[in-house]
Amino acid sequence: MARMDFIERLVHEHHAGLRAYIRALGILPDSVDDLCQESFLVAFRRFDEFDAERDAGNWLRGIARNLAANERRKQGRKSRLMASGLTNFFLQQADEVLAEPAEDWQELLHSCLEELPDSGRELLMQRYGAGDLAESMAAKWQMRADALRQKLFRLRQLMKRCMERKSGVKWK
Amino acid sequence: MNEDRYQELLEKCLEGTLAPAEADELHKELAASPVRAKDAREQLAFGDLLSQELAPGREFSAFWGRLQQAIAREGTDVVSTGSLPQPSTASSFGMRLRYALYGATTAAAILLFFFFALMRGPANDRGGAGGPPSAIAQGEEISLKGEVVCTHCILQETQDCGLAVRVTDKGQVYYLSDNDISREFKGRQGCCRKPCPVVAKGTVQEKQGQSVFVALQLQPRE
Repeated sequence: MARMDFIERLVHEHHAGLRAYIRALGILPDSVDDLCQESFLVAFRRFDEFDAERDAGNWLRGIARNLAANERRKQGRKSRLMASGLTNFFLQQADEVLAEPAEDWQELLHSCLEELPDSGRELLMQRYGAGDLAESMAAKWQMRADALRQKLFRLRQLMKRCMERKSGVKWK
Repeated sequence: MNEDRYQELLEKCLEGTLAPAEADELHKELAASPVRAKDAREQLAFGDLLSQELAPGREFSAFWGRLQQAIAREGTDVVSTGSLPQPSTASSFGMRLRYALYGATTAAAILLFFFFALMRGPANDRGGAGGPPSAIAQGEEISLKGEVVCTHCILQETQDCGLAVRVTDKGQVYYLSDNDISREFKGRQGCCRKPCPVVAKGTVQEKQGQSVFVALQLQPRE
C-alpha cells in the first residue's frame, strides 16, 4: 500500500482516539494536536517497519507514548506537560489506557448533547467549542468559578454515561 | 479529599490552569486512589473528544490538511536521504505533484505578501496606535485596540500556543512577551483560539525582527 494512502487511512481511523489518548497521557490541551501530528509523522517515516498483522492503533499509541516520554527530557518543551509530575504519573499508567472510542462516537455524542438541557449544552459549547475557561465563563453565567467547574464535571459525566448507554460499550 | 474539591481540581487540570500547589494536591490524591486516577484519565480523554467535536479546526479534515503539509515538508528530506524506501511510482508521482503544488502555493503567497506590503506602505503598520512600529520609540507606552489571538491556533506561526495582539483594522501583529499580565490573561481567557477583543497598553520592543509587545494592561472589551 502506498505510504500516503496508508497514513491517510491511519489518520482517518485513529486520529480521534489517538488525540484523546495523548491527552490522557498528561499532555496539555494546546499541545495535543502537535504531538498527535508528530506521532503520525513518525508513522510516516517508519512506514516500512509496520507489520500489517499488528494492531495499528496500538502501534500509534506506542509511538505517542514514546514521544510524550521524550518530552520530559527536553527542557524547552516542558511547557507541553502538566505540572508537578502529573504527566509522569499518567505516563506510568499509560499501558492501561488502550481502548479507543466507539466507531460512531460522533453520532453518539451529538445524540447525547441533544438530550441535555439547553443551559448544559450551552455551557459545554462555550467551554469546549469556544475554548473559554471557567474564570471567564463564571461572570457570564453569574456563578462562582468553582461551582461552574463542578457543573462542567457533572455534565461530562452525564454525557459519558449517555454515550455508554447508547452504545452498550463502556469506553475508557 | 472530598468530591467537590476533586472535581474542581480535575477541572482545573483539564483547563491547564492548576497552580503548582494544586497540582501537587491532585497528584497525591490520584496516586492514593486508583479509582480517581482511572476517572481522571477518562475525563482527560473524554474532554478531548468533546473539544474535537465542538471546537472549529479540530476535525479530521483540518488535521489531515496540516499533516499533509508537514509530510510535504518532510518528504523532501525523506527522498533525499534515501533513509526510507520509495513509495510506488504512482504514489511518488502524486507526492511530487503535491510538493510542487505546495511549493507553488507558498511562492505565490510570499509574492502576494510582498506585493501587498509594498502597496500598503509603512504608514499602515502601526494600526490603532498610528505610524509604523519602527516609528515607536523603544519603551514608549502606547495603546492598541485589537484582539488577542493564538499564534499557533489562529496565526499558525508557532509550534506551541502563544499570544499576540492583532490590531483589528490594520492586521499588524504584536507578539506578547511572557510577563505576569500576559500569563494572567491567558489564565483567564485561555489560549485565544477564538479572538478576544482588547484594549492593550504597553511598550513595544523589536526582537529578531518581530514587534514584541510588553503588556502593562490587557483590558477585554465588548
